[in-house]
Amino acid sequence: MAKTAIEFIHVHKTFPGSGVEAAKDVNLRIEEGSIVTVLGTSGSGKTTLLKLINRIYDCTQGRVEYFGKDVATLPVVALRRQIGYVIQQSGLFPHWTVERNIATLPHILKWDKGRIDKRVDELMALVRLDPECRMRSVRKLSGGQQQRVGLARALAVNPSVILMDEPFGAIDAITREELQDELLALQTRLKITIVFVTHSIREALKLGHKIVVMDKGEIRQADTAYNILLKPANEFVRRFVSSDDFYEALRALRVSECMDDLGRAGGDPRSSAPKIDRDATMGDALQTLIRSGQSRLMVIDAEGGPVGELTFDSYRGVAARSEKDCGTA
Amino acid sequence: MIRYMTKHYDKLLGLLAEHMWMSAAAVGIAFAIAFAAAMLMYRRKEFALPVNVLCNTVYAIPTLALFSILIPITGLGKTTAIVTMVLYNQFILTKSICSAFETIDQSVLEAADAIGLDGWQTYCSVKAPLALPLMLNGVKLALSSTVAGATLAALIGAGGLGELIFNGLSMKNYNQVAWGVVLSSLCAFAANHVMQWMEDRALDRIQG
Amino acid sequence: MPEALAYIESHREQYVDALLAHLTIDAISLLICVAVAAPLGYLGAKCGRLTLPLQNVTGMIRIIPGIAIFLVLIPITGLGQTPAIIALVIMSVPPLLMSAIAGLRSVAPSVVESAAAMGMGRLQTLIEVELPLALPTLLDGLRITTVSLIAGTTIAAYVGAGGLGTLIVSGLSQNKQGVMLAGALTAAAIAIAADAFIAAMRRRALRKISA
Repeated sequence: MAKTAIEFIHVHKTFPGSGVEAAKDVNLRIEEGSIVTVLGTSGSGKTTLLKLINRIYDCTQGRVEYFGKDVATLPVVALRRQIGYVIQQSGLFPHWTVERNIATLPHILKWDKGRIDKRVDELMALVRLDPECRMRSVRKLSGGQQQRVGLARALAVNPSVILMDEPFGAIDAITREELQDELLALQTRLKITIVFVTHSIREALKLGHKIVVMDKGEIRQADTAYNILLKPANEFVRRFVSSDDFYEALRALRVSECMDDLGRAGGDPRSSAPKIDRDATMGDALQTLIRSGQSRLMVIDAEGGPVGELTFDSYRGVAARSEKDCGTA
Repeated sequence: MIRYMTKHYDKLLGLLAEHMWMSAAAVGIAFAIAFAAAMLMYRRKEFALPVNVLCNTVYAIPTLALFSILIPITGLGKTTAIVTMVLYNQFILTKSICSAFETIDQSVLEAADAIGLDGWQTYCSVKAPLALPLMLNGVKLALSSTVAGATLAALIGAGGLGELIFNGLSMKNYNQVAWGVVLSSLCAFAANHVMQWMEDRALDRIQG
Repeated sequence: MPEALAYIESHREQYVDALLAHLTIDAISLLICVAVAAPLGYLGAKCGRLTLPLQNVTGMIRIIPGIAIFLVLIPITGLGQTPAIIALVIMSVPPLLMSAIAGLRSVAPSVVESAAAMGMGRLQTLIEVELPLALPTLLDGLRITTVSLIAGTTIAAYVGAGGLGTLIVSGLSQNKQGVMLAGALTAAAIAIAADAFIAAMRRRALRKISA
């Protein structure tokens, strides 16, 4: 089992002056190297949860553990320097250039100039920022570019965890898709733990290895996309993610979650069966299957090796679990 | 102190009246000039910067210094005091009037145009009411500082409540001084309150 | 004008004394104003509940005529430079305080939050992030304060503090226009110079954050 990066243990949080609990008996384990998306409406407590990790807020009861240590016992400044933080408004320092913003922490840690320059080069390439905007003031950048700078800034000193609070909320839909895909690719490469708050169901299901659905300070379900969609734990979750919507499920589910084991036809990579990548969505796979005119897809991994197969029966399984209000049997 | 008042209350009232009309006159004239200047700056943008710099420079000069500089030209007495105050108030008033008209939402003006209001109608029913609160704010600030500055006017023979203060100082009649201080402060507060009330009414009218 | 110059020539020592006294009082008062307005401004900006009471108090002080403030203090502090400085500070702190609060508050909260979340300490955030961004507004307030101080000091002559005001006063009372103008023109000159200087600094600060 992978190490636990962050754990919430019976955490309660009430803000002074408010009668309402922003976090109610939250218990959650976040594995190292995974992306956990926290999904909910405004006021559901999702941002509170995030801010309890880097101690912008402190728990009223219970504790949050960071790699096994209670965050309340760790010196705040040191803790925060190990945790990246990216927010919707980017929070970039408007009077500094792109370069200076990215290098905020390295400057504080007094790295020498050569090292800082090299790191900025690396980071700009990593987040796909055009090198020519390096010396530009951040105010002149578009929303998408600003978020890339924010991400680069958060990654500067190789944090173990990055907290992201609706970072793509103010970005146009096309750029948002791009940024989401790039974030996934980045995380696969760097294996950083990411806690990502969002109110977009689609985004939560697309990005999260585990999705935490919150309502009024409580966790209603914390599970994989497959389980949230097809085995919702309660009525709230079912309605919130539209579990009944078959097509929504197709968009969100990955082939790897729904595929069947390799059958009698075996797993010969040279076979002429049409192939589908294990990370593709079930929706894309359905298109491929239909267009191929055949009844079976071979699921392959990144190296091309076969890992499973997909047939129309796999889809029946998904459909059966969704409620039958589409009228299809 | 009370005895002083009962004995001299006609003098106190006289000076108070003198002080108030001097301030009011100064602000009135200043407003007229500032309005003209603001319109000029509005129509011909090239005047904006020089007028601004000029008003700014004059504003920086200490009141007493400006009085003194004008004396060779306008002599001692009320004229100099009022001219000085008028010059001072240009800074605040031109700024207020300009920004009052500039901050009117463009879309409102476009709508008025589209409805078919002509220039004068737009001015009376749209521009003036919308600009009023900020202009009144400027007048409020101008009046406050004018009332304060007018206390110094006594030094150059212009009368007003300052006389109580400075006469009293030289004759060591501290009751008199005290009344000067109290009355001028009250005057300033009163002027401020009245203008604030007017500003609030004007704001209500457009936000209500 | 020529009479003013004649006066300065013949009474150089008194002139320079008056000028230095004026500048000294201004400098000391300015330093104290900044020392008072800085911490109060920071507190006022960070603590929402303080803002309104502070605004009310400073608003009231601004309305009271300057000479009144001077005179109210005399029974307590007597005559001379010290009471003048105290009165000047009371008169001139309000605009500085208000602009400090406004300036710090104008920094976007998301920027300050990011700084904290990255592990920047409070002081560091203040110096590297908040102050540069608040600087134009702060300098605006500084400008008003400085000009008001120079003006107030001319009046301070009436409470025995010395300065260029004494030249003006004695010139007025003795009907010697030369003396009067020497004082007045010099005071005007320093005020305009200080105003222009700070205005230039403000433009620079603005350029730095808008470039």
